[in-house]
This record gives sequence, structure tokens and C-alpha cells, in this order.
Amino acid sequence: MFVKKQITQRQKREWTAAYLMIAPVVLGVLIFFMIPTIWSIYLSFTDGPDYVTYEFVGLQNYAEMLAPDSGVWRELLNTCYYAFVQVALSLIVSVLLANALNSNIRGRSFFRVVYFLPSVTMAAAVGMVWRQLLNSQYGIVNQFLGLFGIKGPTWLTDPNFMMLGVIIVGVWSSAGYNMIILLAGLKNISKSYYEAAEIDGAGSFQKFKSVTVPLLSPVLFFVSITSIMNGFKMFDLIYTLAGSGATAEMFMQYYRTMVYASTKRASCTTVSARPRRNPCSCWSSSWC
Amino acid sequence: MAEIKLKAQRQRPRFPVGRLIVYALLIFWAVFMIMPFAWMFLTSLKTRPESMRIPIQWLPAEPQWQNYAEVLNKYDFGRYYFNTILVTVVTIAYQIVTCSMAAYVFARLEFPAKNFIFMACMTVLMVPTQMIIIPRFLIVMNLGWLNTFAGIIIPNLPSIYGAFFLRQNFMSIPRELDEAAMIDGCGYFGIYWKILLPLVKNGLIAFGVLSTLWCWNEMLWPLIVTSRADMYVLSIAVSSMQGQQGNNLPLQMTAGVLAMFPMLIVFLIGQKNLLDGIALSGIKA
Repeated sequence: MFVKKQITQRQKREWTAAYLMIAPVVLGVLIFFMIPTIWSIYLSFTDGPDYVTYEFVGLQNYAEMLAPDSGVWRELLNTCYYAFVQVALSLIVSVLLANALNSNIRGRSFFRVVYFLPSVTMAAAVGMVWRQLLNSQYGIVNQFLGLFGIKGPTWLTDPNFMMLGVIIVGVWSSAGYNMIILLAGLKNISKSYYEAAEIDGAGSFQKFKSVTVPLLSPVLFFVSITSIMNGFKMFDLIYTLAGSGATAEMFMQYYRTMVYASTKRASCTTVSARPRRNPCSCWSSSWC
Repeated sequence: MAEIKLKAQRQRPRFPVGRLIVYALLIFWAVFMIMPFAWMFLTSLKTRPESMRIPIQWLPAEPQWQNYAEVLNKYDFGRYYFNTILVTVVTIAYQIVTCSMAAYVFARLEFPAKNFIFMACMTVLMVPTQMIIIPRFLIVMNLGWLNTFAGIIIPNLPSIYGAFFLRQNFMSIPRELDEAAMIDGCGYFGIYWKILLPLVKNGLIAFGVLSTLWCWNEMLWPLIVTSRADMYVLSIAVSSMQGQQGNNLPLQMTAGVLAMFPMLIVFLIGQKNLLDGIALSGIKA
């Protein structure tokens, strides 16, 4: 009996300490993440001029969003297209780079730092710079293409090329981060597998295909999932890269897609609160 | 014998062409990575006509350092620096303390509903910020925090990322240390503060750098809670500079360089801890 009581007292002390110490994080998460999530789901079932007076409309917003002519489908398609193509390209590049860096090469830490630079840079600034680099007249990209006699497209206004432009910037900014994780994954592959393959007479490419890729696949899977998630969530880069015009609208829609069914309502309040610069305010769908 | 033979085989210089290709690839990508930064910095030192020249003129005839003075004074970047530094410092200080506490609890202590609370918090990580931004905006508006530092800072303070990131670090420390300290009469907070915290220093630095980067570069939330120019943070200032000075490339780029320079320094100082930490946990910078 005595022993049991002691344990409970100690447990109680542990519990109190635990609750007190997680409170600052958990309460904050509750107030600024969980409640908004639930609230947001609730709001998606309502309609009204603002968020003070509204009525419950059931699935009406969803029905409107999912109607074949609502434009959401095209936006969703754009979003998926962007996310998947960007991720695929970025993965190919980062696997190659990680492999190259995994051999004993000089200046490895230099390359590691340089490749990671875009990931630490403010996306707003990255968007701004690339907007100029992709400029159709004086941008470096087109001047570079000009050296080979290719007339570069108007990257950020031509509907056929703006997605490509944004994907290039996306790869530029994400490959380094993926590479760091893949490099860590490569380091965990035991050397003995490569030695065994070498004894069996495998060349570099065969070693890559039959040893590296299968053993790296859990890490590859992880990187693809996080990259796709980040691709879907990307906002500030596109916001500044697009700036104005057709691209802007296309990506405003891209953004809206993620604010899901309550977006129509979303645009109402935030627009009235921030008339000039709110990303939701571009509602017209002129991209086609 | 076989061992020696293998070693000899490995040390034999590899096919030089393959090696050359690898270097070429690495250097090509490094140039591709650095080129925009180089262009940005050089453009910030040019005059307007120089910045638009075709074909491109890489070096300014005379570096226009006064662009920096102009952006800092005339466009009020001093104020934006102050705002951003204030937001970042408060956020990091709070996050390092609270996240490491929560991380310690989740790694070490047992209490009712522990797994439920942890999983609930982790689920929140999956929800994109864009989805919760409207209710968050309403909460902040009802609290009267629009256009205040409280409004910019407080909603971003709780970081479950941080707790998760640091938890991995705490779990790698042997439990015997806690037990020994407990026998010596140390309380739970004492164990965390005096014994374990010094041991997770590398993790704390990595998280500190990461969280500094996030906070400094964050744009969506400050954009939504601030509408007065004197409350802007640097990311908004840069993008509004882009709007106002659409044709003045040198000024735009000066603003960009000013906004990202401090983070380059932070990254270069903390790069080893940060890159190793990211490799360990896979958290996005």
C-alpha cells in the first residue's frame, strides 16, 4: 500500500511537470492551429457577406467548387502539373548531385553550402530576381539562349512558357535542400554493397542502378512526399515572381485552389481587409 | 590478401573522363546556383541605364554604393530592418525555450494522453497555412492585433516543428543521465535545464538557425496582418518595392540584397550544424 502511494505521488509530480512544460507549445498550437482548422472547415459550410453574419448552407460551396464549369478543375490540374513536374525534375537533379558529392571529391563542403544557398534565401527576393532574369528583353536567360541563336520566349507572360519558367525557378530553389537529405541517405548505404557489386564486375552505372537506387528508395520516397507537399503550398515565390499580368492571375488561382471550398468567402473578407495586395483578390479567371 | 587487393583496386585512380564529367556537373550547377545572386549584387551597384543594357554589362563602370544609402534612408529600410529583427528575435527566443521544453517532455516523461497530444500536434503539421489563415485572421482581428507586433509574432510562436526536431536530439541522450540526476535530487525541470539542455546544444543551434531563416523570410502571414507601411517586415518591403520601383532594377536589387544578406551570414555561421541537423530530421528550411 505504502509503495503504491509513493509511486502515485511521483507520477503526479511527473504529470504536473509534463503538462506545465508542454503548455506553451500545445496551448499555442490549439489556439492558432487547431481551432482555426476546425473553424475553417465549419466556415466552408456557410455563406454570407462577411464572417460575422453568415448562414449554414450545407454542401453548397462544395457543389459550386466542384461543378464542372467552376474553373477549379483547371486550377487543380495546373497545381498538380506544377507540383509533379517540378518535383520530378528537382529529384533527378538532386540525385545526380548527391551521387557526385558522395564520391571523394574536392571542395565537397563548398558545393554543399553553395547548393543550399537558395533554400536560405527569402523567397520574395528570389522571385524578384528571377522575374528579371527571365525578362524577355534584357533578362540573362534569353540573352544566353540568344548566344545559340535561339529567340527566347516571353517567359512570364506567354501562357505556354510561364509554367516552365516557374518550374525552372522551383527546381533552382529546391534541388539543394533535397540533395542534402539524399546525401545523408547515401552516406548510410554500406560500402560493402558497392564492393560486392564491383567484385561481380558491375560498372558505375550498374552500381547506381542496382545498389544506389533500391537502397536509397525510402529516402527518395520521403523527399518526394515532402517536396510535393511543399510544391502545393508554395506561395511567396510565385507571388513575387508573377508580379502582375496573366501569370499572376493564373497563380492566384493556384493559390486559391488550396484555400479549398470556402475560398469564395475567403476572398470577401480578406479583400475588404486588404484591398490592394491580397492574393485572394484576383478572382477573375483569364488564364486559358 | 583479398582485402589488400580490394584496397588497391579502390585506390587506383578512376577513369579520368568520368571524374571530369562529375566536376563539370558540380561546377555547372554551382554556377547556376550562384549566378542569380551574383547578378543581383552586381545590379544593385549599377546605374539604371547600365542595368538594362543589352547585351548584359556585368560590371558597373563605377559601383553605385549610394543605392544602398538611398534604399535605407529614403525607402525606410532601416525601419523594416528593425521590425524584422524584433519579430525574429522574439520568435526565436520563445521557440528555443518552449520547444526544447516540450521536446524534453515528449522524449522523456510519461503522462496521460501523451500520445494523443503528440499525434494531434503532428497532424497540425499536415494542414497548409493557407487553409487556416482566415480564421486566424479573425482571431487576431478580434483581439485587436491587426497592424501590431503581437499580431505578427504571437500566432507564429508555437512551433510543433521545433518540438519534433529537438525531440530527436533528446532521444539520442542516454536515459541513465536523467536517472542519476534524479537520485541526486534533481527535479524534472532541473534535469531538463541543467543536465540535458547543454547536451543538445548542436540541435538547438540547428533549430535556432532554421527558425531564424523561417521567421526572417516569412511573407504570407505578415502580409495579411499588416497594412500600415511602418509595420512591414523586409519580405513585404521587398515585394512592395518591386511594385513601386518596377523599372528601377538597381533599387529593387539593393532592397533584395539588404533583405537577404543577414540570413546569408547566419547560414554561413551555422551551416555545419544546420545541414547536419536537416540531414538528420529532414525538416524543410
